[in-house]
Amino acid sequence: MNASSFKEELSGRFGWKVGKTEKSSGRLYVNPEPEIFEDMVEFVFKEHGGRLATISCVDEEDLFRLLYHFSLDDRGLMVTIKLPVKKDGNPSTKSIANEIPGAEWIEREIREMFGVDFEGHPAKKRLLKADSVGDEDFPFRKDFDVENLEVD
Amino acid sequence: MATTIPIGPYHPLQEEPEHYLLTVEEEEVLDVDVQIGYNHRGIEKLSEKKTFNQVPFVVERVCGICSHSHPYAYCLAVEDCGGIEVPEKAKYIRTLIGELERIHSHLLWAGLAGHFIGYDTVFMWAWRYREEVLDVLELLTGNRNAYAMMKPGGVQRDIPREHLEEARPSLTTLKEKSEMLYNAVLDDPVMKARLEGVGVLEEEAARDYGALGPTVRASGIPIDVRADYPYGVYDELDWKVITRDAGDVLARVEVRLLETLEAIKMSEQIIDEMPEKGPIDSEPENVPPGEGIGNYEAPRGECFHYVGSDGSNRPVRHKIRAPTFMNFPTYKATCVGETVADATIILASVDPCYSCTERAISLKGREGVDLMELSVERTEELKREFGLDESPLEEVLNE
Repeated sequence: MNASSFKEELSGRFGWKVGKTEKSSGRLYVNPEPEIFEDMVEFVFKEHGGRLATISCVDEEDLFRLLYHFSLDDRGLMVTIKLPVKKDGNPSTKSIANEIPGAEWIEREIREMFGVDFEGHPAKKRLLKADSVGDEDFPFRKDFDVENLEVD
Repeated sequence: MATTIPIGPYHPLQEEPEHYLLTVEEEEVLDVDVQIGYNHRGIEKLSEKKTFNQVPFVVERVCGICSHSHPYAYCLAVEDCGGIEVPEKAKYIRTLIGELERIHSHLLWAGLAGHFIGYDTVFMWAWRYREEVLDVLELLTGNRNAYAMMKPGGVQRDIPREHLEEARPSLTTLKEKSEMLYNAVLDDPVMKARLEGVGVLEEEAARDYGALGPTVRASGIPIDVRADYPYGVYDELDWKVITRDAGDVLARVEVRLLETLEAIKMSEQIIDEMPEKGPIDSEPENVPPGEGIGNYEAPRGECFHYVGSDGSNRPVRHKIRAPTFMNFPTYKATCVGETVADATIILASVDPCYSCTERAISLKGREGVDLMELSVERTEELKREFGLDESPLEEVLNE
């Protein structure tokens, strides 16, 4: 029920651009048009007090899919906003860490592990990767060669 | 003039490796920078190579303290993905172990917190009484830690009624002792002088950073996954979400100690109400393609797992986010402007758990080698180094 009513609220604000949605009890997955992505994040975070639980990065064949999980704790609803990021060239998207400080570490982790760049991120430095792992080695990508990784 | 104080990555006061850089001017902290990653074991990646039923054993090793929390969150994610039902009795068992784990984790932290501020009496009390709950966990699951109870669709083992009854006296003792600890800590003027108004996390900052668990509840925000997304049998139990408004370290101590008492109360109710008979496992055969989210209230806050399935017997993606990953960055809001002496307890007050935060063992080029084998090898190496070919006793006997 929660998922349906929140979907209505999203449609009321963004119309058809909300895109395809899937829902189940306590979960709502949204695939918005990329142009309204930032507005939707602001809508969920600022106007509805959505708590950024985390961002999951999924390595699909030709793109990375970023899943921004926002929890609306008072409704018991986990809203996941999906954003595709093209793989070829230099995969990148805009950072939300300036608006949501909690995203800073999350984006740093994804940048290190998947090589997705976040434009405008306030602290683009290493958080987790060992010094022996190269800047261009992204351990969590599907094509990463774990067997031949050098270690100290 | 500003000075930089490096602490770590290995330091006698720290239980795990992490590296802090405190920029200070005289006694005042101006800035803090943190480097972690010393414990990264790549568990998310490892998990993609295991079957759905093997993953609980892997994620159980994400963290030695929350060894029930991660498998529970993972199972919730798989059950969410596949629409898998869990039998009533299994829910009771899962919830019981979860609450007992909370008791041991909170007492562990209370002891460490006492130690960090130089109050070792609290450290010894808390850890002494914590033994009691570890004994209960050993009685019920066979292990003090890493209980191996979870599986998608239910639990691995049943708990016989006589073991539940045997646990009761321990819970009564724990209740008395935790009350005593709470009174002793909250009554003590030294604790107040040392912790009140220290490291305040304002409500707005707590929301911006997405802080979790006791850290955020001590800042007056009543979020708790057990109440917001009821799983297990929490909606059948009589308990309340503990909050405090002050947002300082003392409030975090208070919230954790009161939660310990709530957890003991809940454990007793579960023992009273646990069904005598019934299945403990719905034995799901496969996980259909799709995705699922599992969020679980671990002792430190929401533990978040995302599982993607393509219909095969392994997850295609398994994302793990431990509560410390969200709680720890709040140091920016709480440490700056405080004194160096207070920085240690403020950093410790979110109950940081780095092993969880990083989740990554380097076994590169050695895949499949048993840890046991590595350990034996290392012992042999050391023996050669020190010229110890035979055991010391044999040496004496041969003389």
